[in-house]
Amino acid sequence: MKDLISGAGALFAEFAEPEKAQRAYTELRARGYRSLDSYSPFPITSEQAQGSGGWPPLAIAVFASGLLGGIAGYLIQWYANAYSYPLNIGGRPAHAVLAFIYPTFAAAVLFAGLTAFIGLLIALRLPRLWQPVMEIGGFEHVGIDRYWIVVGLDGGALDVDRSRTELNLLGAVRILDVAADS
Amino acid sequence: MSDPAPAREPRESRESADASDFGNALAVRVLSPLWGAGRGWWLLFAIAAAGTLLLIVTVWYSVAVGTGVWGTNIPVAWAFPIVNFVWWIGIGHAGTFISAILLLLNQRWRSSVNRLAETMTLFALVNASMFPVLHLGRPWFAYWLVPYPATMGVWPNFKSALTWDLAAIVTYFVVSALFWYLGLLPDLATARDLSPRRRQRLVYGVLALGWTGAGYAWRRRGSTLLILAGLAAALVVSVHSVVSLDFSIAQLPGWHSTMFPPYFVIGAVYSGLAMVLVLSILVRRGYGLYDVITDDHLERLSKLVLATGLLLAYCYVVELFIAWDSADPYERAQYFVHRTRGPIATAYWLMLTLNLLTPQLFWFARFRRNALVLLIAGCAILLGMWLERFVIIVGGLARGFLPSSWAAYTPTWVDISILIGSIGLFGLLFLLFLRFLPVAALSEIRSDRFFTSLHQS
Repeated sequence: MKDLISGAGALFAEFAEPEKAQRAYTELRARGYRSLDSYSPFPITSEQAQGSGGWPPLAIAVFASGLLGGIAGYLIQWYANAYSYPLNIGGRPAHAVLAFIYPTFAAAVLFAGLTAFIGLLIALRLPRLWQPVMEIGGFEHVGIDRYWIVVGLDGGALDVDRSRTELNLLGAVRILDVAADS
Repeated sequence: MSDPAPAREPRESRESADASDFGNALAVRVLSPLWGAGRGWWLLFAIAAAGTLLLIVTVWYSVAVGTGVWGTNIPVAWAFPIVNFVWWIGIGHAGTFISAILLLLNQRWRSSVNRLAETMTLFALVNASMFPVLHLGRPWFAYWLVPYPATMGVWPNFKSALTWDLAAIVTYFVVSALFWYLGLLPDLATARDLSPRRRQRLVYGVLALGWTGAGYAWRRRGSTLLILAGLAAALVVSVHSVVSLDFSIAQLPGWHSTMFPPYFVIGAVYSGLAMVLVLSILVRRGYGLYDVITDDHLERLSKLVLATGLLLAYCYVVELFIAWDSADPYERAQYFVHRTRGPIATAYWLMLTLNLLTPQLFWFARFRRNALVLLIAGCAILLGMWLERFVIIVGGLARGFLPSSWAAYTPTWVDISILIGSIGLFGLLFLLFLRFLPVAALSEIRSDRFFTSLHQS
């Protein structure tokens, strides 16, 4: 999911209690809102906490780069010890498959780990020193004790006033209409 | 050293205070050390800095004069530096065990100590990686272990366990650091938002990489942590297995055993858990975090210590049985004569006492919930595990196949100073962590408590 704010604009509803924000999120989802997101100092839904459902694109990238790392790791060892400069140490084979296993595995894990981390940063478009949401007054409390539910406006397909009322009834402290790309 | 530690408060009231506290107060309290240090911190910092200075001076002396200043000599060609290496890297394993394997097993309680444990892993690895490099004798050639296209056209020998160690340590350090940083990210954002001064806000803001706590970011982070945990779980068992191969691919009596990889991994996690116990008890007392690291958490840790301690005891027994069963006179002499009655007998019996008897305390709930007992037991196990590596390494080398090449080993003051200095360096790094980074996994603790309170209401 992209940043909702960079789409068609969004309603930002601030909550003072995580219970209310969490209830608003599940309620609105049940009512059929699809472009829905939250900002909070800690995960407020179980899928946020556990990343449930997985993330196939990253998993595939991690697997592929792990495979690539393993192949590269093995090739380096083969090139160094069996091809470029084979050393005869006690008559042991220059192309020593068993001895090459661990560095191969280590290279695979190293590549996979780096891909997982860098892949996450790319997907979240981090690091960023500034983001549009940070311009919202009071947003600096999002790391401490404020919880925001964001309703994407879907290019005008949504009844803004009705959504506003619903958010109010769910306990929002204040609601901001944030225009797109402002 | 913010709040005076409510050490005498009854346990019930400590725990009843925590269940609902997922709000602002917890974050403010856990992050309060970031905005200034108390006198206690400065005192410990001075001690640790003195230790680090000792390390710098003795390392400089060793490099300038040569490894002859150590007690290491033929036939005991591996001594203190390798003992220290295996000890430190073993200690690091508990951090990965707690962060990766307990995460995969969905053990929520890990969030109370996982930040401490992961940080400990990183710093233990810093210490561990120093020793093989020093032990090269000419540490300025350490980069020869990396396969790079040199003009000389020679390459590292990948049939040597030394290059395997390099691969293991580099991978382990990088993956642990990524895991640690990803866990730290939301807490750095909280530190950014709580910063009282602009300069702190700037530093934590840059470190937080622009984290805003968006729902999709939490979900992605959760998935990525699971993937990294899967990778790190493989490292928990593989890294120390490779370290054990340093020994078991040699033919020395006492080293040449197929049991070494699991035996070393168990010992590693055992010693690391002891270190986590020691650190979490000290941090809990220093920062008054009795509601974050509760007696329940310490009890769970001590149960893990007991479990790994029993596994280690099993390994000791099997090791002795295999030595007897091999009917090999050298193997039998190593285990039943040299260790029990030879020059290292004191270290051997002390090791057995500390490693086998200490965890037996944890059969009793009253000891599992007594911080002082746990602290002393943790230190005893750490000492016992250092002795285990000493017995294996020095004991093996001092009594090889040829009685004519048997020799005694005595460490010099430089050996001992480097060991003490490395503990100082660890302390220094850990104190800097306590001072400048969130000491507990705030977002995870708050999230866990939030869900608990939701289920209760």
